[in-house]
Amino acid sequence: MKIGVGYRRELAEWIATRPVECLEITAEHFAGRGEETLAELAESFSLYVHGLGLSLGTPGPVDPERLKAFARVAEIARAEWISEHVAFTRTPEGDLGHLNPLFPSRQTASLVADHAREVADYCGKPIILENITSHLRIEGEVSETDFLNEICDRADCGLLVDVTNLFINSRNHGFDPVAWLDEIEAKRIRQLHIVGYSQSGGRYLDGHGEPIQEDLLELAREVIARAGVQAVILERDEDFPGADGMDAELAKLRRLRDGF
Amino acid sequence: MDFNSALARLLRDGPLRDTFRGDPDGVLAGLAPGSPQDRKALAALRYEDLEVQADILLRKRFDLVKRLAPRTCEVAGWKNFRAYARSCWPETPEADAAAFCEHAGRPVPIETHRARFSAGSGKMACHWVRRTAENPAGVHVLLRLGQHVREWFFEMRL
Repeated sequence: MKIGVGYRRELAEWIATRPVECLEITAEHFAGRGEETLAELAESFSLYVHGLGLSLGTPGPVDPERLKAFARVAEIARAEWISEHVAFTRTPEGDLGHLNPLFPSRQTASLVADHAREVADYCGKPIILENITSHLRIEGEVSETDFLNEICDRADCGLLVDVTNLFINSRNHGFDPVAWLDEIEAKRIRQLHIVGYSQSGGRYLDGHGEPIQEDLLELAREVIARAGVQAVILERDEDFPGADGMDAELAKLRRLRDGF
Repeated sequence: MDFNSALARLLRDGPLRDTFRGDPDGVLAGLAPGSPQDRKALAALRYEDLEVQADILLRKRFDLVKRLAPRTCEVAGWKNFRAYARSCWPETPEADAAAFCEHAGRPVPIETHRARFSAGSGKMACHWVRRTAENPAGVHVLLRLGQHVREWFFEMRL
Protein backbone atom coordinates (compact mmCIF):
# COMPACT_ATOMS: atom_id res chain seq x y z
CA MET A 1 0.00 0.00 0.00
CA LYS A 2 1.53 3.31 -1.10
CA ILE A 3 1.20 6.54 0.86
CA GLY A 4 1.16 9.82 -1.03
CA VAL A 5 -0.33 13.27 -1.43
CA GLY A 6 -2.37 15.21 -3.90
CA TYR A 7 0.13 17.22 -5.93
CA ARG A 8 -0.25 20.97 -5.34
CA ARG A 9 2.21 23.64 -6.52
CA GLU A 10 2.51 24.84 -2.94
CA LEU A 11 3.86 21.39 -1.97
CA ALA A 12 6.31 20.99 -4.87
CA GLU A 13 9.43 21.85 -2.88
CA TRP A 14 8.42 19.66 0.04
CA ILE A 15 7.58 16.73 -2.27
CA ALA A 16 10.96 16.99 -4.00
CA THR A 17 12.80 16.33 -0.72
CA ARG A 18 10.59 13.66 0.86
CA PRO A 19 10.17 9.92 0.31
CA VAL A 20 6.63 10.35 -0.98
CA GLU A 21 5.64 7.08 -2.62
CA CYS A 22 2.98 8.31 -4.99
CA LEU A 23 1.18 11.44 -6.13
CA GLU A 24 -2.33 12.14 -7.25
CA ILE A 25 -2.56 14.65 -10.08
CA THR A 26 -5.73 16.73 -10.49
CA ALA A 27 -6.37 16.57 -14.23
CA GLU A 28 -7.81 20.09 -14.46
CA HIS A 29 -4.62 21.57 -12.93
CA PHE A 30 -2.58 20.27 -15.87
CA ALA A 31 -5.08 20.53 -18.73
CA GLY A 32 -3.22 22.37 -21.49
CA ARG A 33 -0.31 23.43 -19.26
CA GLY A 34 2.54 22.15 -17.12
CA GLU A 35 3.21 19.13 -19.33
CA GLU A 36 6.95 19.32 -18.73
CA THR A 37 6.47 19.33 -14.97
CA LEU A 38 4.04 16.44 -15.27
CA ALA A 39 6.46 14.39 -17.39
CA GLU A 40 9.20 15.00 -14.80
CA LEU A 41 6.92 13.88 -11.98
CA ALA A 42 6.08 10.72 -13.95
CA GLU A 43 9.79 9.86 -14.00
CA SER A 44 10.06 9.93 -10.21
CA PHE A 45 6.67 8.93 -8.78
CA SER A 46 3.76 6.57 -9.26
CA LEU A 47 1.01 8.89 -10.46
CA TYR A 48 -2.77 8.62 -10.41
CA VAL A 49 -4.89 11.14 -12.33
CA HIS A 50 -8.04 12.45 -10.63
CA GLY A 51 -10.75 14.40 -12.42
CA LEU A 52 -13.12 17.01 -11.06
CA GLY A 53 -15.08 18.13 -14.09
CA LEU A 54 -16.08 15.20 -16.32
CA SER A 55 -19.52 15.16 -14.66
CA LEU A 56 -20.15 11.45 -15.11
CA GLY A 57 -23.67 11.84 -13.74
CA THR A 58 -24.83 14.27 -16.43
CA PRO A 59 -27.12 12.68 -19.05
CA GLY A 60 -25.81 12.83 -22.59
CA PRO A 61 -22.29 12.39 -23.90
CA VAL A 62 -19.22 13.12 -21.78
CA ASP A 63 -17.87 16.51 -22.84
CA PRO A 64 -15.44 15.59 -25.63
CA GLU A 65 -13.02 18.49 -25.09
CA ARG A 66 -12.75 17.81 -21.37
CA LEU A 67 -12.31 14.09 -22.01
CA LYS A 68 -9.57 14.76 -24.54
CA ALA A 69 -7.75 17.05 -22.09
CA PHE A 70 -8.15 14.50 -19.29
CA ALA A 71 -6.77 11.70 -21.45
CA ARG A 72 -3.78 13.83 -22.43
CA VAL A 73 -2.93 14.40 -18.76
CA ALA A 74 -3.34 10.68 -18.00
CA GLU A 75 -1.07 9.80 -20.92
CA ILE A 76 1.75 12.17 -19.96
CA ALA A 77 1.46 11.15 -16.31
CA ARG A 78 1.64 7.49 -17.29
CA ALA A 79 -1.14 7.16 -14.72
CA GLU A 80 -1.50 3.76 -13.08
CA TRP A 81 -5.22 4.47 -12.84
CA ILE A 82 -7.62 7.36 -13.25
CA SER A 83 -10.47 8.46 -11.02
CA GLU A 84 -13.57 10.64 -11.01
CA HIS A 85 -16.66 11.14 -8.87
CA VAL A 86 -20.13 9.68 -8.61
CA ALA A 87 -21.68 13.12 -9.04
CA PHE A 88 -22.66 15.83 -11.49
CA THR A 89 -21.17 19.28 -11.94
CA ARG A 90 -22.99 20.42 -15.09
CA THR A 91 -26.47 20.60 -16.53
CA PRO A 92 -27.64 21.99 -19.89
CA GLU A 93 -28.09 25.34 -18.10
CA GLY A 94 -24.48 25.57 -17.08
CA ASP A 95 -21.63 24.58 -14.82
CA LEU A 96 -22.16 24.57 -11.06
CA GLY A 97 -18.41 24.44 -10.45
CA HIS A 98 -18.68 21.77 -7.76
CA LEU A 99 -19.73 18.16 -7.24
CA ASN A 100 -23.41 17.55 -6.48
CA PRO A 101 -25.27 14.38 -5.54
CA LEU A 102 -27.21 12.20 -7.96
CA PHE A 103 -30.60 10.58 -7.64
CA PRO A 104 -29.65 7.01 -6.63
CA SER A 105 -31.49 4.76 -9.05
CA ARG A 106 -30.72 1.86 -11.38
CA GLN A 107 -31.09 4.20 -14.36
CA THR A 108 -28.57 6.68 -12.93
CA ALA A 109 -26.22 3.82 -12.01
CA SER A 110 -26.35 2.65 -15.61
CA LEU A 111 -25.59 6.18 -16.87
CA VAL A 112 -22.60 6.66 -14.56
CA ALA A 113 -21.27 3.18 -15.37
CA ASP A 114 -21.55 3.83 -19.11
CA HIS A 115 -19.65 7.11 -18.74
CA ALA A 116 -17.02 5.50 -16.51
CA ARG A 117 -16.39 2.76 -19.08
CA GLU A 118 -16.26 5.35 -21.86
CA VAL A 119 -13.63 7.40 -20.00
CA ALA A 120 -11.59 4.30 -19.10
CA ASP A 121 -11.68 3.03 -22.68
CA TYR A 122 -10.77 6.42 -24.13
CA CYS A 123 -7.83 6.84 -21.75
CA GLY A 124 -6.77 3.19 -21.92
CA LYS A 125 -6.53 3.14 -18.10
CA PRO A 126 -8.49 1.46 -15.32
CA ILE A 127 -10.92 3.85 -13.61
CA ILE A 128 -12.04 4.09 -10.01
CA LEU A 129 -14.95 6.15 -8.73
CA GLU A 130 -15.19 8.27 -5.60
CA ASN A 131 -18.00 8.90 -3.09
CA ILE A 132 -18.69 12.61 -2.49
CA THR A 133 -19.69 14.80 0.45
CA SER A 134 -23.24 16.03 0.19
CA HIS A 135 -25.22 18.17 2.59
CA LEU A 136 -28.34 16.93 0.79
CA ARG A 137 -29.77 13.55 1.75
CA ILE A 138 -31.47 12.24 -1.36
CA GLU A 139 -33.90 9.38 -0.91
CA GLY A 140 -33.70 7.43 -4.13
CA GLU A 141 -34.74 4.02 -5.35
CA VAL A 142 -31.68 2.38 -3.80
CA SER A 143 -29.35 3.07 -0.89
CA GLU A 144 -26.05 4.84 -1.51
CA THR A 145 -24.06 1.64 -1.00
CA ASP A 146 -26.27 -0.37 -3.39
CA PHE A 147 -25.93 2.52 -5.85
CA LEU A 148 -22.13 2.51 -5.69
CA ASN A 149 -21.98 -1.30 -5.84
CA GLU A 150 -24.22 -1.36 -8.90
CA ILE A 151 -22.16 1.28 -10.70
CA CYS A 152 -18.93 -0.59 -10.02
CA ASP A 153 -20.44 -3.91 -11.10
CA ARG A 154 -21.86 -2.48 -14.33
CA ALA A 155 -18.63 -0.64 -15.16
CA ASP A 156 -16.39 -3.37 -13.71
CA CYS A 157 -14.41 -0.62 -12.05
CA GLY A 158 -12.85 0.11 -8.69
CA LEU A 159 -13.89 2.36 -5.84
CA LEU A 160 -12.03 5.26 -4.31
CA VAL A 161 -13.33 5.58 -0.75
CA ASP A 162 -12.97 9.12 0.47
CA VAL A 163 -12.82 8.43 4.19
CA THR A 164 -13.34 12.10 5.05
CA ASN A 165 -16.42 12.39 2.83
CA LEU A 166 -17.87 9.19 4.33
CA PHE A 167 -17.20 10.41 7.88
CA ILE A 168 -18.70 13.88 7.22
CA ASN A 169 -21.83 12.44 5.60
CA SER A 170 -22.24 9.94 8.46
CA ARG A 171 -22.11 12.71 11.07
CA ASN A 172 -24.31 15.17 9.14
CA HIS A 173 -26.91 12.57 8.15
CA GLY A 174 -26.76 10.33 11.22
CA PHE A 175 -25.67 6.93 9.97
CA ASP A 176 -22.98 4.44 10.97
CA PRO A 177 -20.01 4.65 8.56
CA VAL A 178 -18.79 1.19 9.56
CA ALA A 179 -22.19 -0.30 8.65
CA TRP A 180 -21.87 1.61 5.35
CA LEU A 181 -18.49 -0.07 4.78
CA ASP A 182 -20.00 -3.47 5.55
CA GLU A 183 -22.48 -2.93 2.69
CA ILE A 184 -19.87 -1.91 0.15
CA GLU A 185 -18.23 -4.57 -2.04
CA ALA A 186 -14.79 -4.46 -0.41
CA LYS A 187 -13.10 -6.17 -3.35
CA ARG A 188 -13.72 -3.00 -5.40
CA ILE A 189 -11.91 -0.62 -3.03
CA ARG A 190 -8.56 0.33 -4.50
CA GLN A 191 -7.66 3.73 -3.07
CA LEU A 192 -8.48 6.06 -0.18
CA HIS A 193 -8.59 9.83 0.17
CA ILE A 194 -8.16 11.38 3.58
CA VAL A 195 -7.78 14.89 5.01
CA GLY A 196 -8.94 16.58 8.21
CA TYR A 197 -12.50 17.87 8.46
CA SER A 198 -13.73 21.14 9.98
CA GLN A 199 -16.89 21.99 11.89
CA SER A 200 -19.14 25.03 11.79
CA GLY A 201 -22.67 25.69 12.98
CA GLY A 202 -23.14 22.10 14.07
CA ARG A 203 -22.13 20.73 10.68
CA TYR A 204 -19.09 18.83 9.53
CA LEU A 205 -17.39 20.34 6.47
CA ASP A 206 -14.72 19.21 4.03
CA GLY A 207 -12.52 22.26 3.68
CA HIS A 208 -9.40 20.16 2.90
CA GLY A 209 -7.40 22.36 5.20
CA GLU A 210 -7.16 20.58 8.55
CA PRO A 211 -4.85 17.94 10.03
CA ILE A 212 -6.21 14.38 10.00
CA GLN A 213 -8.17 13.70 13.16
CA GLU A 214 -7.97 10.42 15.10
CA ASP A 215 -11.55 9.43 14.32
CA LEU A 216 -10.75 9.63 10.59
CA LEU A 217 -7.74 7.37 11.09
CA GLU A 218 -9.95 4.89 12.94
CA LEU A 219 -12.37 4.83 10.01
CA ALA A 220 -9.48 4.43 7.56
CA ARG A 221 -8.32 1.44 9.65
CA GLU A 222 -11.77 -0.10 9.19
CA VAL A 223 -11.50 0.26 5.41
CA ILE A 224 -7.97 -1.14 5.21
CA ALA A 225 -8.97 -4.10 7.39
CA ARG A 226 -11.69 -4.98 4.87
CA ALA A 227 -10.09 -4.24 1.53
CA GLY A 228 -6.90 -4.57 -0.49
CA VAL A 229 -6.20 -0.83 -0.56
CA GLN A 230 -3.32 -0.03 -2.89
CA ALA A 231 -2.86 3.68 -2.19
CA VAL A 232 -3.82 6.30 0.39
CA ILE A 233 -3.67 9.93 -0.72
CA LEU A 234 -3.62 12.88 1.66
CA GLU A 235 -5.84 15.46 -0.04
CA ARG A 236 -4.66 18.71 1.53
CA ASP A 237 -5.69 21.73 -0.56
CA GLU A 238 -5.17 24.75 1.67
CA ASP A 239 -3.70 26.11 4.90
CA PHE A 240 -0.61 24.05 4.24
CA PRO A 241 1.17 23.46 7.54
CA GLY A 242 4.78 23.71 6.42
CA ALA A 243 7.29 20.92 5.97
CA ASP A 244 7.13 19.63 9.56
CA GLY A 245 3.35 19.62 9.52
CA MET A 246 3.20 17.73 6.23
CA ASP A 247 5.79 15.26 7.53
CA ALA A 248 3.59 14.68 10.58
CA GLU A 249 0.54 14.07 8.39
CA LEU A 250 2.36 11.50 6.28
CA ALA A 251 3.73 9.87 9.43
CA LYS A 252 0.15 9.33 10.63
CA LEU A 253 -0.64 7.48 7.41
CA ARG A 254 2.54 5.40 7.55
CA ARG A 255 1.73 4.36 11.14
CA LEU A 256 -1.75 3.44 9.92
CA ARG A 257 -0.21 1.19 7.26
CA ASP A 258 2.39 -0.24 9.62
CA GLY A 259 -0.40 -1.28 11.99
CA PHE A 260 -1.31 -3.94 9.44
CA MET B 1 -36.79 18.76 -16.41
CA ASP B 2 -34.51 15.98 -15.16
CA PHE B 3 -33.52 15.59 -11.51
CA ASN B 4 -30.06 17.11 -11.91
CA SER B 5 -31.43 20.20 -13.69
CA ALA B 6 -34.18 20.72 -11.10
CA LEU B 7 -31.68 20.36 -8.24
CA ALA B 8 -29.22 22.65 -10.00
CA ARG B 9 -31.94 25.29 -10.44
CA LEU B 10 -32.61 25.20 -6.70
CA LEU B 11 -28.90 25.41 -5.89
CA ARG B 12 -28.26 28.34 -8.25
CA ASP B 13 -31.24 30.47 -7.27
CA GLY B 14 -31.43 31.79 -3.71
CA PRO B 15 -34.86 33.49 -4.05
CA LEU B 16 -36.24 30.27 -5.57
CA ARG B 17 -34.99 28.34 -2.52
CA ASP B 18 -36.66 30.89 -0.27
CA THR B 19 -39.94 30.33 -2.11
CA PHE B 20 -39.42 26.54 -1.98
CA ARG B 21 -39.15 26.78 1.80
CA GLY B 22 -42.72 28.05 2.07
CA ASP B 23 -44.25 26.43 -1.00
CA PRO B 24 -42.32 23.36 -2.19
CA ASP B 25 -45.24 22.06 -4.25
CA GLY B 26 -45.58 25.36 -6.08
CA VAL B 27 -41.87 25.51 -6.91
CA LEU B 28 -41.78 21.88 -8.03
CA ALA B 29 -44.84 22.44 -10.22
CA GLY B 30 -42.80 25.13 -11.98
CA LEU B 31 -39.68 22.97 -12.25
CA ALA B 32 -41.76 20.03 -13.47
CA PRO B 33 -39.39 17.19 -12.55
CA GLY B 34 -39.55 14.29 -14.97
CA SER B 35 -40.83 11.50 -12.72
CA PRO B 36 -42.84 11.07 -9.51
CA GLN B 37 -39.72 9.64 -7.82
CA ASP B 38 -37.68 12.72 -8.79
CA ARG B 39 -40.45 14.98 -7.49
CA LYS B 40 -40.69 13.06 -4.20
CA ALA B 41 -36.92 13.24 -3.67
CA LEU B 42 -36.82 16.96 -4.41
CA ALA B 43 -39.83 17.66 -2.17
CA ALA B 44 -38.02 15.93 0.69
CA LEU B 45 -35.00 18.23 0.51
CA ARG B 46 -34.57 20.47 3.52
CA TYR B 47 -34.15 24.21 3.00
CA GLU B 48 -31.26 24.33 5.50
CA ASP B 49 -29.38 21.60 3.63
CA LEU B 50 -29.98 23.32 0.27
CA GLU B 51 -28.59 26.56 1.70
CA VAL B 52 -25.42 24.86 2.97
CA GLN B 53 -24.85 23.05 -0.35
CA ALA B 54 -25.55 26.28 -2.27
CA ASP B 55 -23.07 28.15 -0.09
CA ILE B 56 -20.38 25.66 -1.06
CA LEU B 57 -21.04 26.50 -4.70
CA LEU B 58 -20.92 30.22 -3.92
CA ARG B 59 -17.59 29.78 -2.11
CA LYS B 60 -16.17 28.20 -5.27
CA ARG B 61 -17.40 31.19 -7.27
CA PHE B 62 -15.88 33.56 -4.72
CA ASP B 63 -12.51 31.80 -5.04
CA LEU B 64 -12.59 32.27 -8.82
CA VAL B 65 -13.69 35.91 -8.62
CA LYS B 66 -10.94 36.57 -6.04
CA ARG B 67 -8.32 35.62 -8.64
CA LEU B 68 -9.67 38.29 -11.00
CA ALA B 69 -10.57 40.97 -8.45
CA PRO B 70 -8.60 40.25 -5.28
CA ARG B 71 -8.72 43.70 -3.77
CA THR B 72 -12.45 44.11 -4.47
CA CYS B 73 -13.13 40.80 -2.74
CA GLU B 74 -10.88 41.66 0.18
CA VAL B 75 -12.59 45.02 0.70
CA ALA B 76 -16.18 43.87 0.03
CA GLY B 77 -15.82 40.50 1.77
CA TRP B 78 -17.57 37.16 1.57
CA LYS B 79 -20.87 38.34 3.08
CA ASN B 80 -21.29 40.99 0.40
CA PHE B 81 -20.38 38.50 -2.31
CA ARG B 82 -22.90 36.02 -0.95
CA ALA B 83 -25.64 38.65 -0.89
CA TYR B 84 -24.87 39.52 -4.52
CA ALA B 85 -24.29 35.95 -5.75
CA ARG B 86 -27.38 34.32 -4.22
CA SER B 87 -29.65 35.70 -6.91
CA CYS B 88 -27.52 35.58 -10.05
CA TRP B 89 -25.33 33.09 -11.84
CA PRO B 90 -23.23 34.71 -14.60
CA GLU B 91 -21.98 32.40 -17.30
CA THR B 92 -18.27 32.83 -16.68
CA PRO B 93 -16.01 33.77 -13.75
CA GLU B 94 -15.03 36.89 -15.71
CA ALA B 95 -18.68 37.99 -16.03
CA ASP B 96 -19.14 37.13 -12.34
CA ALA B 97 -16.17 39.31 -11.38
CA ALA B 98 -17.40 42.18 -13.57
CA ALA B 99 -20.89 42.02 -12.04
CA PHE B 100 -19.53 41.84 -8.49
CA CYS B 101 -17.20 44.75 -9.07
CA GLU B 102 -20.28 46.79 -10.12
CA HIS B 103 -22.18 45.60 -7.07
CA ALA B 104 -19.39 46.14 -4.54
CA GLY B 105 -19.71 49.27 -2.45
CA ARG B 106 -16.11 50.43 -2.89
CA PRO B 107 -15.11 49.68 -6.47
CA VAL B 108 -11.47 49.24 -7.38
CA PRO B 109 -11.40 50.85 -10.85
CA ILE B 110 -8.50 48.81 -12.22
CA GLU B 111 -10.18 45.56 -11.20
CA THR B 112 -13.56 46.67 -12.55
CA HIS B 113 -11.99 47.51 -15.93
CA ARG B 114 -10.04 44.24 -15.97
CA ALA B 115 -13.10 42.14 -15.11
CA ARG B 116 -15.33 43.88 -17.68
CA PHE B 117 -12.68 43.55 -20.40
CA SER B 118 -12.04 39.87 -19.55
CA ALA B 119 -15.78 39.15 -19.73
CA GLY B 120 -16.09 40.78 -23.14
CA SER B 121 -14.55 40.08 -26.51
CA GLY B 122 -12.79 43.34 -27.35
CA LYS B 123 -9.18 43.29 -28.48
CA MET B 124 -8.01 46.37 -26.65
CA ALA B 125 -9.20 48.87 -24.06
CA CYS B 126 -7.71 51.98 -22.59
CA HIS B 127 -9.08 53.72 -19.49
CA TRP B 128 -8.23 56.81 -17.55
CA VAL B 129 -8.30 55.74 -13.91
CA ARG B 130 -8.95 58.38 -11.33
CA ARG B 131 -7.15 58.28 -8.01
CA THR B 132 -8.95 56.37 -5.24
CA ALA B 133 -7.99 54.84 -1.91
CA GLU B 134 -7.22 51.63 -3.82
CA ASN B 135 -5.12 52.93 -6.72
CA PRO B 136 -3.23 56.01 -7.98
CA ALA B 137 -4.38 58.02 -11.02
CA GLY B 138 -3.17 56.80 -14.38
CA VAL B 139 -3.88 55.10 -17.67
CA HIS B 140 -4.88 51.42 -17.68
CA VAL B 141 -4.32 49.57 -20.97
CA LEU B 142 -5.65 46.06 -21.62
CA LEU B 143 -4.86 43.86 -24.60
CA ARG B 144 -6.34 40.49 -25.50
CA LEU B 145 -3.71 38.09 -26.91
CA GLY B 146 -5.44 34.85 -27.79
CA GLN B 147 -7.00 33.56 -24.59
CA HIS B 148 -4.84 35.75 -22.35
CA VAL B 149 -5.34 39.32 -21.21
CA ARG B 150 -2.25 41.49 -20.75
CA GLU B 151 -2.46 44.78 -18.92
CA TRP B 152 -0.29 47.79 -18.18
CA PHE B 153 -0.81 50.68 -15.81
CA PHE B 154 0.94 53.99 -16.39
CA GLU B 155 0.77 56.03 -13.22
CA MET B 156 0.35 59.76 -13.65
CA ARG B 157 2.04 61.78 -10.97
CA LEU B 158 0.48 65.21 -10.89
